[in-house]
Amino acid sequence: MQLTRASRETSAVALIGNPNTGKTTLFNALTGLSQRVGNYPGVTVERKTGSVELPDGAQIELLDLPGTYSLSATSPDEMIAVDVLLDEEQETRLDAVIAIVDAGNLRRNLYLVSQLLEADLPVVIALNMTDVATARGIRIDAIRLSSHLGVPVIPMVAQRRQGIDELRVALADVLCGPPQQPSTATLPDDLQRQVIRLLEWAKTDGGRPLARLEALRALVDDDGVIQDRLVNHHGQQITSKLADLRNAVGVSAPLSAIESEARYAWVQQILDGSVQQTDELRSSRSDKVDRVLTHRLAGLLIFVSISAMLFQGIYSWSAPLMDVIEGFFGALGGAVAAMLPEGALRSMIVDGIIAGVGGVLIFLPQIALLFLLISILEDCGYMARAALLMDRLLGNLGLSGRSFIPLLSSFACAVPGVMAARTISDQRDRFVTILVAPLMSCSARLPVYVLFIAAFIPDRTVLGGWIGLQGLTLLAMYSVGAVIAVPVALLLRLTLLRGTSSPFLLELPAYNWPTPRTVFLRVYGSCRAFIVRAGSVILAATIVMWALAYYPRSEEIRQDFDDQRSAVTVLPAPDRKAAIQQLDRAEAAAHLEASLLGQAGHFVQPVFEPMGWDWRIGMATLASFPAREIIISALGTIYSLGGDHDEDSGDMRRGLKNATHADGTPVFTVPVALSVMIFFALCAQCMSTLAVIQRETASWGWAAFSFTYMTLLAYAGAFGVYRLGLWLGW
Amino acid sequence: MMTFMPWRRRGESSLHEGPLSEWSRGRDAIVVDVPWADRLSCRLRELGLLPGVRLRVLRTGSRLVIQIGEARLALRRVDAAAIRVAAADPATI
Repeated sequence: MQLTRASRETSAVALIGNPNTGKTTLFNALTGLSQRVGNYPGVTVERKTGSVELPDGAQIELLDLPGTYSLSATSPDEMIAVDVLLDEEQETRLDAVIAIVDAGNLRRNLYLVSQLLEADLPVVIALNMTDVATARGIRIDAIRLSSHLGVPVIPMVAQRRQGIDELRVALADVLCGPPQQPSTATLPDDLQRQVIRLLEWAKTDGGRPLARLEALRALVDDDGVIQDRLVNHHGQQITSKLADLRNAVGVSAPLSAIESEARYAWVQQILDGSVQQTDELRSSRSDKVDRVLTHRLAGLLIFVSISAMLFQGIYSWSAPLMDVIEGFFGALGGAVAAMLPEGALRSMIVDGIIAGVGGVLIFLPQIALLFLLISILEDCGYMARAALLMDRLLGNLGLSGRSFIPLLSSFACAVPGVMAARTISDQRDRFVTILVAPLMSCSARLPVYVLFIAAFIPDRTVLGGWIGLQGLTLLAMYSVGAVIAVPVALLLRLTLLRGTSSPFLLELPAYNWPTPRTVFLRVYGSCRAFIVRAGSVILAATIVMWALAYYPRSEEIRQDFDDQRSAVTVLPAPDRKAAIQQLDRAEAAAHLEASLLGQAGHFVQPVFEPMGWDWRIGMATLASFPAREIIISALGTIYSLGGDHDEDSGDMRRGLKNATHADGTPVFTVPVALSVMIFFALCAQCMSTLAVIQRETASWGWAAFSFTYMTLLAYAGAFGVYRLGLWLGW
Repeated sequence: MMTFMPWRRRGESSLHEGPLSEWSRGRDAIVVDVPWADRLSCRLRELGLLPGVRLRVLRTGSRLVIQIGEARLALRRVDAAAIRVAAADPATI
């Protein structure tokens, strides 16, 4: 007993199930805040893990697998589940599997279970959403179901945390209990025989033994992902071996059709006597809602309205909270400035860190609100309807509705968006989606838009007072990337990634109220990631930026201004104060011009000139290569050091408005502000995105391609909008 | 034999059997045949769209929504054209 307990302390258990079975809710209920989602907020694309405490005090590691209907993987996403079950990655050796099934749709959910029961792993079945099933008149005898299957079945309602403790007990029992004797589907003898032949061949001639699950999938799923991988391990010879064995099964129908029929026959046997339900198709309330929400015209109108409200809401609702944070950093800067003696240290803390990082953290309310609204829409089931409506549009681009969720996630952050493209089975579809995903306006661009809109776009209403001009500009900035993505996707489809579009098949889950816990955990995760980023990459970039803008500190300039200051002391008091303030500003500007950053900025100035930018914007943009938000902190630091920043209020907007060229004309006009925003809407200034593109496409070439095409687009767009703005006389 | 039935609206199928893409909304059908060749129909079979299964069309147009059991699946009309279905209850036709 002592021994099993000790060995169980590192037990690994996987959670697997069909999409929309409440898997995420169950995972959250079991693990709570102990879960680790890598660094990325978003849908279940990364391997999420968390620890669960069992009733006997043992800790287990729970691994959340992406939702899948079957183990015959067609997409990289579904392949993750197969890999984990096969222990292909050797990171986690599984000790058991929790299979979550929807009690309201048992027949289809048991299909995956029938494949799992052949994997030689202990299985516990979490029979979820029993409340909904009961309301629909489905009667399930869980004890009989369990005896038919040969594995424990735990009825539960994960959303209301019912049955969670029972699941923990069952898991503890399974982990130390005797081996299970599950019922398995009876596949045709001829097929079984060929599976055994393949296993023997792999052991003797193939050089590497196969698991039974792997052998079955390789035989059944011709041109599947498994076969490609076996070719890598065993060489081309396995292709002809597999073809021979498939022929030897001796049936005319494809093996996949034979398999699905055999499995559904098994499911029927399991259900007989344990589940009572009518064969009648029952309408649900979701169907009525869908008559409107997926309607050709009304549905589209509602979709557009929801999107518009989303952006208007993000802009206006977060304003009060932003003011609070802004006030806090302003006061902090003032307090620190009063405490420290004048010099490099004070400048670094006040002008560098507080003006820079503080300037980015102000946007936390907006990030939280964006993720809150997106996760609510996703959790209640609306996103699948939006994907259905968008399939027609995306189909014209050679993509499918499958690309919708990756693209939409990219509005939050391109990193989870690019990863979510794993659910797309067609390789070319997937690559096109990955390449255009960073064009969607991510949350890192939001601070840039908000800052420039608040500073330069007049606050008045248009369209009969229905929407503010500022909100409309924000919507336009969000749309520009999506609009540009259309020709980009078409062009890619016609050139580098030619091919026909892949089929579209999507399940529409029943609508339900969002689970507050699921929504909260997602908002919490993304806010945490944002703060961590502000405290690491952005902090580092800010300090480098500050140092470049501060040094070398010319003694000559200081001496020169000191002389001028003593010259004005003869003036009467009120004039003297104003004159000294003006001199202070001029001194700061002179120091900045003479700094390393200033010198470099003047050197590269001709590149930025056509877009209407002065060297300071240009340098801030170059500095924001690692992450777009850095431009905020960089501009904050530059204008703070340059004396344009109003130190009393810490208000950066005023600093930008007050910024002037050497001849006294303002640096930022409406065309310049729009030009900066368009540049950031289209550019690829995000190291994390480029890295994830490299990882997901397994090629630096695609990452370099993304960066190049997006930077060119950004430059052309910024140039165009600046010229257009000048021409229209904005 | 075709019968003249002016009370039927145009486009509404009066067939006992036909492609899923032409089936009218709200009318129950039994799956007669699902093709085997491609990946999509393979996935449809795994989702339970097998001969003999009852389904209902909930949305028509370029993208269909069908109900099988408690699940609602969206697919393209062009893809649905390959699936053959028959009237579920001949008595009501």
